Amino acid sequence: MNREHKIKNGSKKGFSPLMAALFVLLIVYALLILFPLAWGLGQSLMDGMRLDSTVVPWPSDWQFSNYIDAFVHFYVPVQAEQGTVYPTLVYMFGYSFVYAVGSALTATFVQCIVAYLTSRFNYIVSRIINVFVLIAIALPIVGSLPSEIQMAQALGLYDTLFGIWIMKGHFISIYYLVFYARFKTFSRSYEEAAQIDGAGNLRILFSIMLPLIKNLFWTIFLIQFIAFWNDYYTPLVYMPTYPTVAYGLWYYNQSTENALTLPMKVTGCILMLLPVLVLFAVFSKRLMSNLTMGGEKE
Amino acid sequence: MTLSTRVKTLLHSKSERKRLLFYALVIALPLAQVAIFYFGVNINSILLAFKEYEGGSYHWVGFDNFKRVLTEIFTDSTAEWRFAFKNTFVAWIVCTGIGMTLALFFSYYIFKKGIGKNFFRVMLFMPSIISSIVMVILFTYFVDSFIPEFLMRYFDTEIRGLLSDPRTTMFMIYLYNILMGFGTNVLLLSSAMSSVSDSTVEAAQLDGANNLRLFWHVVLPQIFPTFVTIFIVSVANLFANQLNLYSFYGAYAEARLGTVGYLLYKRTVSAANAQYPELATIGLLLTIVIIPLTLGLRKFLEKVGPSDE
Repeated sequence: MNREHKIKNGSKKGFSPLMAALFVLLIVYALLILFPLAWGLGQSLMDGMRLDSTVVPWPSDWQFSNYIDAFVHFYVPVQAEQGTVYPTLVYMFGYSFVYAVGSALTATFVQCIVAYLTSRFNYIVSRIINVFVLIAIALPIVGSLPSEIQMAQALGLYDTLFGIWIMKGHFISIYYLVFYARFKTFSRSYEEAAQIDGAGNLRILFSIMLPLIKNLFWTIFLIQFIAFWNDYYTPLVYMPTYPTVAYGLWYYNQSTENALTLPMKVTGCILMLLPVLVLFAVFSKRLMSNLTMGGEKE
Repeated sequence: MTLSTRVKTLLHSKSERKRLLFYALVIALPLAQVAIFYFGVNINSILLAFKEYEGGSYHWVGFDNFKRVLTEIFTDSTAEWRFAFKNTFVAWIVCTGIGMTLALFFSYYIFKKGIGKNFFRVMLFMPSIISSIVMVILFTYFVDSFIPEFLMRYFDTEIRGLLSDPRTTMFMIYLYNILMGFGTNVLLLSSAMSSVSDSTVEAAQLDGANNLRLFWHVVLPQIFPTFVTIFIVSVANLFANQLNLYSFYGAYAEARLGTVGYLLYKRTVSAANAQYPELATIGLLLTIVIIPLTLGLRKFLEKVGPSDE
C-alpha cells in the first residue's frame, strides 16, 4: 500500500543507481560546457597585454575596455570592387543582423504560408507537396554545393543579401511539417464563419489563421534566427563581401594577420554570444517548448 | 465524384474559382523557389558530373569524370581519401554510438524528473544556441592553453596542448562533437518521452519494474519511431559530417584528421569553375551509396524495432 501510494504521488520519480550515475555524468557534462564559457568570460576582462591564461582577474582588475577595443581592432579584409576594404565589428554585427533577421523571416513565412495552403486547400498539388517535403527531407543528397553556387551566380543572387534571403526562403524543412500539423488541428468552421461574414481568402489568412498561430510562428522564427546568426558557412560561400560576426571570428581563428591577443579574441566570442544569450534568457521557455508535430506544446 | 466532374464543379462555382486563383497565386513563388533551388540545382549537379570546363565553357565528356574520380579515390596517392573514409565511419560509430546512447539516457533522466532536471535541460540545450565557431575558439584555447598552463603552474607537470598533441587530437575532436551533439536530439527525445502516459509508468512500477527495466521495456518501445528518425538522420548525414574540422582548422586540417564531408566542403569553398564537375561527380557517387543505405536501414530498423504493444 505504501509503495503504491509512493508511486502514485510521484509516478515518474525515483532514485536508483542508474539515476545516480546519470546525475554524475550530467554534472561532468555541465562542467565541460560551463567551464570554457566562464573561463572565456574571465579572459575577456583580462588586461590585453597579460598572456597567462590560468589567471582569473579580480573584479577590481576587470578591463571592460577590451569590449570597446574589440570594435576598433576586429576587422576582416574584403575584396570589393574598389579594392580591399576592412569592415569593422560594427559592420559585421550589422550584416549578421540583416542576414539572420531577413533569412529567418523569409524562411519562417514561406514555411508557414505553404503549410497553410497545403493543409487547408484540399487540392492534388497540396498532397504532392506534402509527400515531396517528406521525401526531400529524408533523401540525403551529397555535394550539390558547386551547382548551387553556379545557380546563384547565374541568377545574380550571389553575394547579395537579398539573394541569400531568397535562397533561404524555402519550405523543405521540418518546420513546414510543424506548421502543417498545427493548421490541421483547426476546425473548418473558422473559415466558414468568416466567409459568411464576407471575408475573402487573403483576409481569412491574415486576420484569422495567422493570429491563431502567432506564438508558433515567432518560436520558429527565433530558432531559425539563432541558427542563421551562428552560421558562418553561408556567408563564407555566398556572401564574401558581407562578412558577418560569425564569419569574422572564423577568419580570425584561421588567420595570422592582424594577430589579436587571447583576451581580444575571446572578447569577440563573448560579444557574439551576448545577443543569443539575451534572447535565450528572455525566451528560454518558448525556445525549449516541445515543437511536436502537433504544434507547440507548452 | 469523378475527377472531371470535380474540375467542372470547381470551375463553375465563383467562390471555388476565387479560392483556386488565390491558391495558385500564393503558392507560385514558393514553388518557383523549390523548382530552381532544389530541382534545378540537383539536375544541374547531375549534368555537371558529365561535363568538363575548358576554354571558358562546359563540354560533355561522358563518364570521364567518374573514371578520374574513382581512380583518385581507389589509388589514393596522398592517402587523403583513405583517411577521410576511415574517419567518417569511425566518427559516426563513436559520435553516434556514444552520443545517441547518452542522449537517450539523459532524456530519460529529465523524463524521470531527476535532481536538477531543469538546470540540465538548459545545459543540454546550450549547444543548440551557442555558435560552433565561438565554442571551437573557447574549447581550443581552453584545452591547448589553459589546461597545460594550469598543470604547469600548480602541479609542475608539463604536457602539450590536448588538441596540438597528435596522440590526443582525434580524441578531443570526438569529445567536442559528442558534447555539442546533444541539443536537438535531447529535445526531440524528451518531447517523445513526455507523451508516455503516467498510468503506463505507474503500472510498470507497481509490477516491480526498476528504472532500467522501465526504460527498456516501457519508454524505449514508445519513443522508438523518434529514435529511428534521429538515427536515420545521422546516417543520411554520414558524408556531410565535417566533425567541425572547418571551424577548428579552416582548410588546413591534417590529412589524417579529415572526413569525407570536410574534404568535399574544403574543396568546394576554394574551387573555381574547372573543379565543379569533379566535385559534382564525387557528390553524385556518394549520393548513390548513401540513398539505398539510408532507406534500407530505415526499413530494417522499423522491422526489428521493439513493439510497444
